[in-house]
Amino acid sequence: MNTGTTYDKARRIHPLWIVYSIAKSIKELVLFVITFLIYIGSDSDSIFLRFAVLSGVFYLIYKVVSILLEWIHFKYLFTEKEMCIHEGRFIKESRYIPLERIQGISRNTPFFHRLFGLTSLLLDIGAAGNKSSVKLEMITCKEAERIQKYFSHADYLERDVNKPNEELTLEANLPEHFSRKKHYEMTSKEIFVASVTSLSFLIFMSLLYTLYSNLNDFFSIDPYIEAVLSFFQKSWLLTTVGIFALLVLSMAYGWGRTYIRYRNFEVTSDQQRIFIKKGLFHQSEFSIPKEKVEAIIVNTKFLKKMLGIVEVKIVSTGDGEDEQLKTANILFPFIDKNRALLLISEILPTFKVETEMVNLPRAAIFVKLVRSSYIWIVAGVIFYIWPRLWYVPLALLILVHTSQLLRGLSSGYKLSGPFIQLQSGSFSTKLFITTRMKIEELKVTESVLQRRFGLASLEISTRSKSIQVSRISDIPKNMAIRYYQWYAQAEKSKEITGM
Amino acid sequence: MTQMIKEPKQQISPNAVKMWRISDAIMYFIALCILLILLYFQQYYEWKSWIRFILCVLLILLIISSIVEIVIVPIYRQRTWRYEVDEKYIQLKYGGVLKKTHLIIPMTKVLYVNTNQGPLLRKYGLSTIKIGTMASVHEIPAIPEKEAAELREKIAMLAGISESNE
Repeated sequence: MNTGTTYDKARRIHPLWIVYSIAKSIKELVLFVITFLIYIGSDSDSIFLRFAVLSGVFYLIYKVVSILLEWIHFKYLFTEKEMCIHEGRFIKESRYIPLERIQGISRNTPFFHRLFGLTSLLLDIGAAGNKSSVKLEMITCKEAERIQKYFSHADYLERDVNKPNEELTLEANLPEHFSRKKHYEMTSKEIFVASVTSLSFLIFMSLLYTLYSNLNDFFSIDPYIEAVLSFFQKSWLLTTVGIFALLVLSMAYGWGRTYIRYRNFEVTSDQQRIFIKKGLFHQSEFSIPKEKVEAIIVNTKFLKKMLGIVEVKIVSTGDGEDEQLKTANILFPFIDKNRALLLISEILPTFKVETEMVNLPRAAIFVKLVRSSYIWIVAGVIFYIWPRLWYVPLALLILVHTSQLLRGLSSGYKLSGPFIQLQSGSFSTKLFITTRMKIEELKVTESVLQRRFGLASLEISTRSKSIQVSRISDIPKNMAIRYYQWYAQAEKSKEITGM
Repeated sequence: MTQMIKEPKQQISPNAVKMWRISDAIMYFIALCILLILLYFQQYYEWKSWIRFILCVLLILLIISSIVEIVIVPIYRQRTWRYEVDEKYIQLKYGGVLKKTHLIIPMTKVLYVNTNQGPLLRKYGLSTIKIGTMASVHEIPAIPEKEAAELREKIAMLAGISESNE
């Protein structure tokens, strides 16, 4: 059992990182110089230019030295209980991170890294501030695998220590622990549907526009554009062809984008961890221990609602600002709802998702409409000041009231065993699922208006990088009371079960 | 709707009413001074007349709200505030007529607890308890000093013990 934990010495990241970082800072400098030259113009006097060149050279030297020092000082080491990081450029620093603090591991392989058989690991420690993650950039794939394996082993040991009475059952499951089960693989059809519904057509348009405005800064391309436009305006046939071509192009673009991002998307899991893998050129793999999953969010976007496609997200303490991690914890980017619910309970047996939810009482819809009636005042004021824009307040009224109506109709809740499910939202809906153990605090509020109709609001907070507050308004009051007692009860029964 | 969440038992100190009244009075006095100074400036530098109108409206609103806040609100707040701490959880309840809030925090989720005391609180021998969780910080306002210190130790102990048990 102890085969996985070898006591190794501190390791450095791959030396190629120096080259990579220097190249990156040169690229930055070059970009800066180009913009600088464009704005200043080349006709400025020579002393100023010489000064600029000199400072550029100094900056580069500083960068190279600091990169070298950073590489020399950066070392990492895994021991049985913690992870040590030695780092720093001019000031050395050591960090010791207990292993159980590490939440998710994401492995990213950009195209450049892949050329050299390298990869990078991002270890997410659920801490606040900018030191919320450790990045091991540029390590060999073998090393990455070693670390990943080490972590799956560490969870395993940790669990073992915490629950010694479960040792027997774990022992029996040992072979299963290392074998991964594949749950989901994205098909080309799903990628196609996703690219159609993701409104990539708008992104394409904005892309075209930025391209145009950027080019326009350097060359005068307006005449060409005009020539092209007038060509398509010659007859309605040509116009249709033009529009059609534009549509096809934007669809192709959207499809390509989605394809590159989600090709090879795969969700697997073993006893302890969930693994999410994706990417065509830039490959990434994210893994998180199942126990660290605080909650699950099922998002349904307005357009995808009709097709029954949802997005499933994992909420963990490490939902950092880091862009890589933010997208990493999407369990299924677009999946058929029923299938998603089935798969969630397959991957995370500790989460049970009920498809049947209790809707809000009719009074709740009425309360919501009353509450949003302040919009009449706003609309009235707009109408009073600009009577000619009568359609603006009208549209506002319709929009607000339909959204409140939809909110009332689509909200729902469910309480079964230790699970809590809250659904809210109007045009797009969000289903939040968590367990009693993961709730940090629970709040029930009742306003005057709600009291008249026997309603109340419920708010639960769960951990995430910044706290995740889920709220459902206007549920029947006795239901809110039940939730409160249910939560209070949990704390009592905890003692009995010996948690 | 006869079924209710059981109200926490403990109440905060009746001295809180006086304390809040004084602190609110100070606040309103400062606000009043600022408004009066602005009014004076308006007159002296001959600012536009609509500024005067707005300032006067603000002044009237300030006076009305100060009467409500100083006379009625403290009593209401003191009467409706309830808390209860036992081994397993902390329960807070505040507000009544307009908006009633019940909050429950399990001991295991409490990260820190401290008491603090401003000059006004000290005058009445009161302390505020702050309970920090991952989610937010909650205050129990105006508890007698000694009681507050005891409660702080109690929460710290209970939270600490449950932490090490986990």
